[in-house]
Amino acid sequence: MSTRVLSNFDLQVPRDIPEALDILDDYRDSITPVAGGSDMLIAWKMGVESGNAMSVTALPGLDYLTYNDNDGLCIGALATIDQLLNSDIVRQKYPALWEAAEVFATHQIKNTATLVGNCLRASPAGDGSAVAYAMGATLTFVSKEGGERREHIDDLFTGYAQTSRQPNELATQISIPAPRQGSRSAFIRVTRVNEDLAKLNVAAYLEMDGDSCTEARLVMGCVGPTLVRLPKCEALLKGSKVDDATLNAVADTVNDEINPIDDQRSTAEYRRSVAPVFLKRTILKALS
Amino acid sequence: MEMSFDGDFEVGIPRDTLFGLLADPEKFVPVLPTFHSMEMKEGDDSTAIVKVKVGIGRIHGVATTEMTLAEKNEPVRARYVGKGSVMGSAYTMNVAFDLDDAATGGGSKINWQGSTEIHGKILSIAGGGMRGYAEKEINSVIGALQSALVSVDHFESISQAAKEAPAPSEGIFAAIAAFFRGLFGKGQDTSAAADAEAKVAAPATPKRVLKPDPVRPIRDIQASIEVDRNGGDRWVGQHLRRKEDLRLVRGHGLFLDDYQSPDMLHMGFVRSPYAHAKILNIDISAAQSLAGVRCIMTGADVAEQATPFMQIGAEPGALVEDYGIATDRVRYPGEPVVMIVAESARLVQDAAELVNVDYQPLPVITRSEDAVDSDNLLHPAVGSNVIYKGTWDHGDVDAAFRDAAHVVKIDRMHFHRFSSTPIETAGAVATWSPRGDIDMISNNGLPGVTAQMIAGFLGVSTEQIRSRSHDVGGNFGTKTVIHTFMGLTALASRNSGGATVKWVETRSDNLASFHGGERTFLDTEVALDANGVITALRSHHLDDCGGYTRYEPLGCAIWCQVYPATYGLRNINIEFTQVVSNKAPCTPNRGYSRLQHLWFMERVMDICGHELGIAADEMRLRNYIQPDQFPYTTPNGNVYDSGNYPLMLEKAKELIGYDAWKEKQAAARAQGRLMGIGIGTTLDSGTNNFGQVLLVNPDSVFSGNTEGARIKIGLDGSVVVTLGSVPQGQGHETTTAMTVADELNISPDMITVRSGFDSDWNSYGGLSGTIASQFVVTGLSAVHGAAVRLKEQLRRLAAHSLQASEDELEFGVGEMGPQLSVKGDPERAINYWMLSNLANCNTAAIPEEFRDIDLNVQYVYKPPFELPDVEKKTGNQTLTYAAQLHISVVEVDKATWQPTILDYAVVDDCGVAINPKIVEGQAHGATCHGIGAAMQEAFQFDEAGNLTTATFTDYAPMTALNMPDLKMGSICTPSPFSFNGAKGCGEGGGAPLHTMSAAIQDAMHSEGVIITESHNAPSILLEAAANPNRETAVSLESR
Repeated sequence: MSTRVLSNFDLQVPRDIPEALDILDDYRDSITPVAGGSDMLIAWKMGVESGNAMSVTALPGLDYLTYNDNDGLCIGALATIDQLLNSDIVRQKYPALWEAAEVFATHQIKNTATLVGNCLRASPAGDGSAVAYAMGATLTFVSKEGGERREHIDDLFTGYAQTSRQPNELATQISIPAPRQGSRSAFIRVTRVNEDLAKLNVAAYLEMDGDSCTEARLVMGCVGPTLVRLPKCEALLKGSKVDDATLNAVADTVNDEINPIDDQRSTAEYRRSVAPVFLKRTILKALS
Repeated sequence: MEMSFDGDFEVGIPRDTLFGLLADPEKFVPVLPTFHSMEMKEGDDSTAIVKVKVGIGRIHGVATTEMTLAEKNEPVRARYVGKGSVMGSAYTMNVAFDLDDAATGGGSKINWQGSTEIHGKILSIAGGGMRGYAEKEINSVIGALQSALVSVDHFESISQAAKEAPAPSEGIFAAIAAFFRGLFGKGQDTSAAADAEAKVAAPATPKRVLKPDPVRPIRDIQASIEVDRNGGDRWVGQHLRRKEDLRLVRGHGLFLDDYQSPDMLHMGFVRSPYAHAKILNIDISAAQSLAGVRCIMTGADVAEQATPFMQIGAEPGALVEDYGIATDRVRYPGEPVVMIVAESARLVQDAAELVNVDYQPLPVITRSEDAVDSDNLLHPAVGSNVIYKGTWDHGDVDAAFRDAAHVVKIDRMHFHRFSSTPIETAGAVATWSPRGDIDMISNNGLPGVTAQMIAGFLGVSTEQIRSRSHDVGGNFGTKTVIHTFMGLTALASRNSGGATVKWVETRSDNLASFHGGERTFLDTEVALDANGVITALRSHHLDDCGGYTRYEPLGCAIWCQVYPATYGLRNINIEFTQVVSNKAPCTPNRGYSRLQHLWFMERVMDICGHELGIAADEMRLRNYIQPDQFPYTTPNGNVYDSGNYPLMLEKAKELIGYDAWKEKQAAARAQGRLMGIGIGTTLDSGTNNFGQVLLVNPDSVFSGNTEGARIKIGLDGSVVVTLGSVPQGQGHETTTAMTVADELNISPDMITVRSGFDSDWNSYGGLSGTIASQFVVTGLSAVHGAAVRLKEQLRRLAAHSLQASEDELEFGVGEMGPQLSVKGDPERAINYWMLSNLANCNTAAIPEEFRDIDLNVQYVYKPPFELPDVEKKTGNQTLTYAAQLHISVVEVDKATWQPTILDYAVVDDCGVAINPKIVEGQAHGATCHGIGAAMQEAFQFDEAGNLTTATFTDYAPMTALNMPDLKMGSICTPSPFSFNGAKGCGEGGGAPLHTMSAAIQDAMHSEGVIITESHNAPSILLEAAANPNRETAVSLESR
């Protein structure tokens, strides 16, 4: 049994991106880039091999939060959850992201955790990453060999705590498209206590034309090894009037798309039972 | 004794103007740095009655000097003469200022002279130090005067501000020096003048020399000599801030892990990954070769050097062999298997990873029902997994069932495992000296009993163990059983050459090691009369104490302190069985053993009420012990001291708006919503009779209870109290000071309560400690007893000193702090310092018949208990019975089965609340723990017995962010059995568990659900709703 004392590791602290890319190029799989560290430190305490770590906190110019109608919301790799929470743009244009930031862990964690890190940890219970997934975000990676590469979040999550980031790549930004006309979004999480990991979460992004849905992206967390897109449910919404019949059909379908397990936070049975409920509630919340 | 001083300095003020400042007492005197207040003598505009602050350390007061402008030769000379008294001594003084024009610049030169003559006892105290003090103080005074005389405006503004400032609240300079302040004043930043100066912008800032900051004392002692009890006549009952918080919130606490020493070693464990397994082989060779590893011991090594820890119970439980570390097999996940001592905690971890242990997994028992008849024995020497079995049978149960109008049967109920998870985990720092003495610092809460347990294990006597603790970051009972780890830490020191060895748990270690008790209630039958009054109860209770009997089977007796709960039934038959299982050993945990039983009784009450269609409040009113029945003797001989449960219910209903919620509930139900209102009545029995150990072990040598306290008047006259208790956040320093202050008629601020416990120095008994909601009775009774003895000594000595009879004297506070004075003649007074001087330093000055007085007394309180009747299982086991009544309103979301608290009321009756602020804090904490346990805190195990909630990520303890707003109320039924009318209240009796179960059942009863689990997470409620149990879990037979 682990004694839960942080194991020894070697820490690299590059001063600029080229230096960081050199380090990643040298170490490849044997080094873990760390920004806020809020999740990695726990992982290391829980026995995940640490070995080498590279803190990116000294890299200049990565703590930005910008918005324009063409590029949408661009969030630097070192922008914290607290920055999202204090952004008027996020609050007004990306309500689901703001709601995820608001309920994101504790104030201490908000002050250090980043959305980029949240996505790259690829936790099936991620809150910010669930919203980013629903909103169709894009990650920007740079590497010494390949220069800049952009990866749509649909292709990011490859397995439990696994992403398509290459070992020599440094994530520098996540961008979320500007909300389109008539778009709506919402986020709901269910926890035992406020500070807890979710036992279920749902993020919804809808584009509406009157009562009809023209585009839908639905993401559910804690119901599989990764955050789970719900394409069947999305298909039921797209092109349909979002009424009780549609919502019931969506609710009846969601269990076909998820595969929850028992854990300390809840049971698979419970998750299956409430997944339709919270999916409907999230959609209704987005529409409200 | 005569002393004189002189000197000169120049200021920029013209001589005429300067003279006007120095020759006007009303302008000059307030500038004195220790100025307190002044008034001009009536009819004499040249004489001022001046009060200045005096004090040393924690002794403080004011001294009065009459200063007269004796010479006024304008503009060249002003001379003051003064007289006064301090500490029973008289003095005269003479201060003169001769003014010249300065050589250059238009200012003035001040030539000053001062002399004083002292007569009296103060000389015997001060000895030859007075001249040194005087020189220092005069330099300070002249400096302050020089600073104030930068300009006329500056001087006058300081003078005016000092006069207008409220009387300064503290002064911490030597009393001897203070005497001179009476003459000249001095520069000290806590004075009114200094405060005033700080508020007045000086025209020029003197150049400062940078120096390291001195330690800034924490002002836990205020110098106020006013005894303001907020309008009351006693300190007890006042909402005072806690004395200890000034220290704690500033980071000056001293917790276990704060202890450091050169060359300290660190100890940790290789722990079992299995819940149950044989140890086949342990290879420590790689770990041993790691540089910095100093000692590695397996369980077998420990067994060679130690004797198994003492078992509390009789056989068969006594046959459990417990070394605190596995010797041949592991019995719970996380059990220590190998002990490693190294030069750092990290090195311990590195070494632990190099230890190879071969295990042969064994079948696992995690359900107590499975343990009873299993051949899979955890402790083969015991012969079964049953540690204890006993029957409680009182009244005529069979007859009551024969005559019953209704019989309700409840199949099975289960109280789950959780812990109160103190923020500071357990730890110990041990040093085994070459003499064989052991210095043991820990955060254990029961040093007397613990020393007895450790001594046997280590083969030393209890007096060889110096048991110490300081601040403890929460306990809630869970640190009561850390004695095994303390013993192992001592052994680690012994085997590391006597080096100091520290062991501190990680959070995961803590969650793996100390669990609250788990109990299953089987085949319960309840007899009721036609009015729904319960007349009899039968049940089988099965308690799971985990892998070892660390404090068990004491829990098999503790529960019957609250045998009928708050109800009047007289016929009870309970078969109580305790088994071991492959889970962590159980420990006392906030409401130890009683909250399980009280939860059971409240479930019985609610289930019967629902079955009979009687409302929850009405059901309780019909069954409560009535107010006029107190003191009330229960069927098993416990004596409930006082109470008024119907009044508590009435108050709680009023607080929460019960009737309005009932209307809202009806409306919600009409909409198909699941809203419930739950009532939980509970007891917090405090001050144990350790004689109850006899119920589980007739050979026990424990009974009654003891607690000690010592009070002394220090050489400086301060009042110092040491306790035998080990406070862990209960505010002992504050409530002790309030109790002593009332007795001595002084302020709690004038009393120092030593924080921490040290068996070498503190007064304590073999059963001392902070457990079982007892401090306000045991601890404060000891404090009170000591205070009474101290008063007797003070009164005798003061009567002699003042040439008065003892009856003429009164305790109080004078200008020189705590004192005794002759009633109606305040001038005839003697303060504690002088009395202490007579008793301790000037002993030849008092007649022989007073030489027994040491002003240093101890008192050990022993509650009036008797031995229980072991055969009949009767006897009074607890002295006081505080009560709590909670009401919650809960809505269960029918779609998600998430219960949400809509409203919550708490009513407490702890008798006389010594400090209601502290009581409210305790009630908040107990409610927080209880709601957490009811809603989301539960230890969980998988099929292999792995603990799956071994971190706070998985366990989800309750936090302030998740608490509902509480509506707090109280009633007071004073205990007739405690000197102060108080009843211990810290544990809280688990009321939220009862209340939440009741509310959720009320909400879900329409769904056919009977709540039979104490933990009701949404997933559990989902399952309950999917499988309604009303038809299977409960039956009603009405005749």
